[in-house]
Amino acid sequence: MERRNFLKGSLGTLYMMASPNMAFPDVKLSDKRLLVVLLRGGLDGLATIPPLGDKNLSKIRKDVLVQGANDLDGFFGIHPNLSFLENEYQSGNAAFVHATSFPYTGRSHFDGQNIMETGSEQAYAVTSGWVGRAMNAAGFSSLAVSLPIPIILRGNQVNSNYFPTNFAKASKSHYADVEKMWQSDSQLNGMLKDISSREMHMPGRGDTKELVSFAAKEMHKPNGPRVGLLEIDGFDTHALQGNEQGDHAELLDDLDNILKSFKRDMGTLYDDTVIVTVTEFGRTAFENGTQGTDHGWASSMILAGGLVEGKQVVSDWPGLEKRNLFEDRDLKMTIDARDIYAEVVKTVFGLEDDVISEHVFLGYKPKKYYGLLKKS
Amino acid sequence: MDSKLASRKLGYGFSSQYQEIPLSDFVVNAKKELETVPKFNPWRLISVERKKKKLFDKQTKEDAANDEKSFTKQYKKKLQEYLKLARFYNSSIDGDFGKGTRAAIIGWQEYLDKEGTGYLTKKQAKLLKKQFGEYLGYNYPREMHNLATWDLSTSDLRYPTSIKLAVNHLLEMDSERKRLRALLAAGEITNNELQRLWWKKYNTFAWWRDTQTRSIDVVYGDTPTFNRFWHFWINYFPISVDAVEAELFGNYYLTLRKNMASNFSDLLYDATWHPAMQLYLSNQESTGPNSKRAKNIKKNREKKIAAINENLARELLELFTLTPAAGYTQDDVNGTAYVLTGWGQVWDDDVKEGYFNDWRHEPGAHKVLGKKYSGKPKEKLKALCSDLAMHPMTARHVANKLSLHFISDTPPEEAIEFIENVYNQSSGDLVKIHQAVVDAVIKYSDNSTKFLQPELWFFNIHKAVGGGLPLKFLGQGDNWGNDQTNNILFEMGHLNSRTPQPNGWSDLAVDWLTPEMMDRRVRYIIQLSPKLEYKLKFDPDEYAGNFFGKDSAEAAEVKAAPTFTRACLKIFCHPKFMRT
Repeated sequence: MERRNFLKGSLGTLYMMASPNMAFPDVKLSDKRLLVVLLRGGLDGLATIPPLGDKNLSKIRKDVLVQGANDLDGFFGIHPNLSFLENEYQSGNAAFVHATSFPYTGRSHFDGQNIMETGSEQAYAVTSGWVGRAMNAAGFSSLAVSLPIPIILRGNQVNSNYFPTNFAKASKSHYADVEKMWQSDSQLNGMLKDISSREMHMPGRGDTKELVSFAAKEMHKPNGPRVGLLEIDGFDTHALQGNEQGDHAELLDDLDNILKSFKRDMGTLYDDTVIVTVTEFGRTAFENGTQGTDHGWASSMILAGGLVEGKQVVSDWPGLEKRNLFEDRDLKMTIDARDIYAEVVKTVFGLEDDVISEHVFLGYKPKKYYGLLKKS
Repeated sequence: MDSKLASRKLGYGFSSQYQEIPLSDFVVNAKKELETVPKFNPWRLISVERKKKKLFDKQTKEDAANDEKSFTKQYKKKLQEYLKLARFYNSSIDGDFGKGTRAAIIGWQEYLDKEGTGYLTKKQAKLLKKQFGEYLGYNYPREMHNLATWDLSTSDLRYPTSIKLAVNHLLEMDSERKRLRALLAAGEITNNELQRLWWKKYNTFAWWRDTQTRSIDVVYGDTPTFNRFWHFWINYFPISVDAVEAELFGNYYLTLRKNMASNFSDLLYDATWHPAMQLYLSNQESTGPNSKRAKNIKKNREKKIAAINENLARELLELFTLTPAAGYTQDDVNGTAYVLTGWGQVWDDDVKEGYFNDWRHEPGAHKVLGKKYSGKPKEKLKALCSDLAMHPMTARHVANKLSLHFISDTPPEEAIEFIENVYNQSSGDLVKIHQAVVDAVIKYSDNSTKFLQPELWFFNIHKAVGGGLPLKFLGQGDNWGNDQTNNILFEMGHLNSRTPQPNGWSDLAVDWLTPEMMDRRVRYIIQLSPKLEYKLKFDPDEYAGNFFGKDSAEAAEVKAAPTFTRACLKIFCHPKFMRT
């Protein structure tokens, strides 16, 4: 019996950060904007950007096999619910990468998510995140719209966060009392500095599209955030994943609509924007026994926005024949996701290759340049 | 360390009236408390309310006046006592229903959102007795009566602690879902109507009662140390309302609780087979490739794949026992998944078998960590849980998690080893392990070594002020106002039943210490303090004297605060109160 998603609204948490000027007033600013979309749970790349040209796909998948995927380039197709992204692709504003992942094959959500957020090759090796470090290197301070600050943003010198609340706001004298008490506390000192003075009109909670519109609005402000992070849960589709309909299809539909709203609200700024997805791993190539898929390795990545060199699916396709799969079950990674993120970071933050290698990816040197972003 | 700090580290703190005791006495008491599983009381307060439905329907004032003729003076006196206890009546107990009594009855009836007739039918009088008379002996505060006003006439608030009832209810809800979906698909109802019909019948929010009942037990109960460990295990084996019918929460949590004077192996086994965990980690339809179901698929040429779902198997190894550091392989995950096939078959409705049915079970022997598991399905799972529980990596993991929760974000190695050794020497005896944690906390932790998670901070406040728990539940929707325990904990980012991921809520300060979350703590105190001032008559000076010390600078600061709210802020948002 399908209990999930019964009467469930759209889900997602928005994080926004990289508001320039706060900590580093003299830094020259990039006019570019970045929206990172974290797809937690492990995105099924084979259902999102199905390799229609691989005849094995329909042999190893039945219930979760997506029907009616639209052709992109003669080999790869796109899930029918991603109609906005398909249009963007056709008009040159979106590209996809396939058989990509972090070089992590342990299939644990928690190790995998830690690696996708820290950008380290080992789980729990560092406490900061690769986006946070990139912002730090570029001299951006950060503002997150979230309750906890996700690891991927940590490592930035000034981290501040907001999230819509129903509690009434406190007065200046209340904040002053508390700040005074916290002054000599290394963890709490300065915690309320920004929040006590900032006026922010938050959208209602729960509707991701509203949150994204809010992000777009804030991104328009001269001193507003340059980077947004959107988090969507639910991609851990072990059971009743669905195909062109069902749970996974609904999640993709949500994602597509959210990005569509984001583009609309970004207006002309969209031309200077990159949207990129991050997920901890792909899923098993084979369908499991509960009309779903288990934890795998490689997945697909979405890039969209005016800065994207669109209309291409970048892939070094490893194949779905059993002998081509990792441990006979998972799509192999043939493109290190960090190579792509390095291109994104370089374009958006204007960082040099060696800075990216040293600070953002902790010594990892990208193996190849894929040309997924427009040269400025 | 003194008994005050110990009561915060191994309990939920103390109120103004708390008298310090020698630390050694505290340790003896705490250890004794952990030896047996105490009775969990709050449930009786809730279950009483089942029969209220329709009591007020079709009973006119005339019927009531008629009924009242048969009430004896003695009975009338009792009823007046109940009304007084419920604070609707404030006059003499004389057995004479005059103006004051009539007004009180109207007050009570309207409080229940019913027509205020001022007269009691026999049945209403019985309800009044049930609601308030039965609690005379408990001396619970009025907020408890709010629980008794949950409106059962338009919603179904059953929260069965019996697994059979819970599963039956779950199946009932499944068929209602199916029916509504079919109506929607046939175009007979709109999506809005579907929502309305659903909420009308199953306005459950049963998980709300998890927080409510635990809050009550924490604030008014007398086993705080036991409860702290219980909450630890609830978070160790987490489930979430996103994937589990909330009906199952009550029995699941009590099942964990029941095992707390047993050993880790039993706890692990019971958490694993329980339908709540089975549903949460989607094991219930995992199918053995050689199972009866698999053969059936082949025979009928169904377009289904007969294979396992490894979700629960992986977390069983990763989160509940060995951890990835143990170096198990994909084959071990698969073997574990085979052992787990066939469990969680709630449709079978066979509680005696633990909701196991061999329809999907993979027959034969399965290998995990080089050992073969064969025999009866139940024995396979029991043996696997037992071996996993006895694995040294599991001892290490449990000791580490306990140290992170109770001692410090970076616990000293000696503390972890101390607990780990007790685990290994006692073969996972939970009483001994919990008692070892008590010793380790006294020995290896100090002032302010743990930052309190929002739920713990919230409980510490309400323990400090002697109650004031926002318990009112009107059953009208998911989204109404802040003045409710669950809403407050949700706003603070820590509503227990909404664990984001199967690794539970974080024990680390770094995951909670953000400006927004800290801002909310400030805001909560501001929201709470008028109630403390006028309803609870909480005295900040008195408490500050007890908490910080009579002649301390902090107590002087509280005394000097120009308003009541600011005095409260100086206690509850003080770093010393926010950490233990």
